[in-house]
Amino acid sequence: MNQMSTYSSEDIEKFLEINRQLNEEPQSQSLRKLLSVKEKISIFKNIDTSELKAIVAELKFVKFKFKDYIVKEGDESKEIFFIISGECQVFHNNNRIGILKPGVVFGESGAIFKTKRNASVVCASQDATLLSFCIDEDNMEFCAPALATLYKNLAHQINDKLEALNEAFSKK
Amino acid sequence: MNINDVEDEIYGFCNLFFKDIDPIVEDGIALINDNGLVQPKENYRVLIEYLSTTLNHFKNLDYSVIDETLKKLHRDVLYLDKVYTIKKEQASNIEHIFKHKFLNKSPLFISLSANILKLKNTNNLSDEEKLSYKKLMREFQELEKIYYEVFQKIFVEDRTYFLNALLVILNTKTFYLDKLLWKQVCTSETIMKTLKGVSKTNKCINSKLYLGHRLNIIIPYSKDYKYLQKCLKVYK
Repeated sequence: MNQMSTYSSEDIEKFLEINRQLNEEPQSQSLRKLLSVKEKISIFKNIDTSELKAIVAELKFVKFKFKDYIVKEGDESKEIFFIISGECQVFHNNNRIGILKPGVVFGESGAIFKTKRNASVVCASQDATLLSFCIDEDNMEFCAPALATLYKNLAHQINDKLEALNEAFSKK
Repeated sequence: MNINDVEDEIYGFCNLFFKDIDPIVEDGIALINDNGLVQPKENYRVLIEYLSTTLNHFKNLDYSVIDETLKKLHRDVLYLDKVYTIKKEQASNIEHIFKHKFLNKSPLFISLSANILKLKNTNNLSDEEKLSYKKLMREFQELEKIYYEVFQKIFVEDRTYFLNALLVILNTKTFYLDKLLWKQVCTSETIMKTLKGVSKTNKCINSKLYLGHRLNIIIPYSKDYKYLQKCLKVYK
């Protein structure tokens, strides 16, 4: 029943040429950068590189200047941010409620629950570099296990934040 | 009854059931892995009809753009799509497969059925024979239940593996068909003349631009419009 074609080295070279062109696209370059810092991002723990490619969309490395708004309270957006360098401050009802340092992930609640942003995040250092990305939930059939791992990691992240809040609250 | 024997028998059946697509999957996955081909996360399968129509349209405009690689990919994509659809349908009803295909080939069940049938067709059964008939029936039903549980687990595992693998191969080949088609099209002056207005620079046209252009010129909300919209979503 196997009536599949046999591909010559000439055919394969054409496929590889397509691969090379894809690698030069901006999205691919951002993905390469992401993969180079993957190990530092806790929410990507236990997710294979190939799987990661499948679940991350609209990947961007963004630079912010002092006082730039990264996220505005009440806005609807689905991006998750990872701070690579610089510091950010978190405001809720115009009150400063926290500082975010490199290595921290934020924005995950809005991305998961599709709710409006519950706080504003502002660049607090001279400049800050952040990795911004969305979770691609389409085509579940191709990346369901990776999405499951990602959501598990995000749940851990949210839980850690809640525990930190509880601890801070109990100290007061 | 040894559960390993039950499993072995079921694995044997599954091997036969998926025998026809096993070499397709093996060759296809090897082609992808050995050459580092891209496995797109998007569902390129939805594009097959659009790509076939577009390929045939461009072939009519300039036959030379459809090279051997494109021909092979196009043939494979259509074939894989057909195989996937057929196998998915064939493997959909597990209970039916178990009762009508597996049990009919299982030596244990064939022998049990024969004994039951023999007793059933005997006139004036003695009390002992009646008891024996009931016992056999009970045994048959209990065994059937145990086998079905194992069968379901193994069959679903195999079905998931084979259908997913077929889908990955199909998706990958459709992805390269799309990319290579436009690469070839952009080299044809004849075709590019007909595509003026699709792109501002008119140098590099792809499915995203072409679909966007087509959606601007066809009747909104027609069947074609909805389909092309669905295709465009792949390139979001």
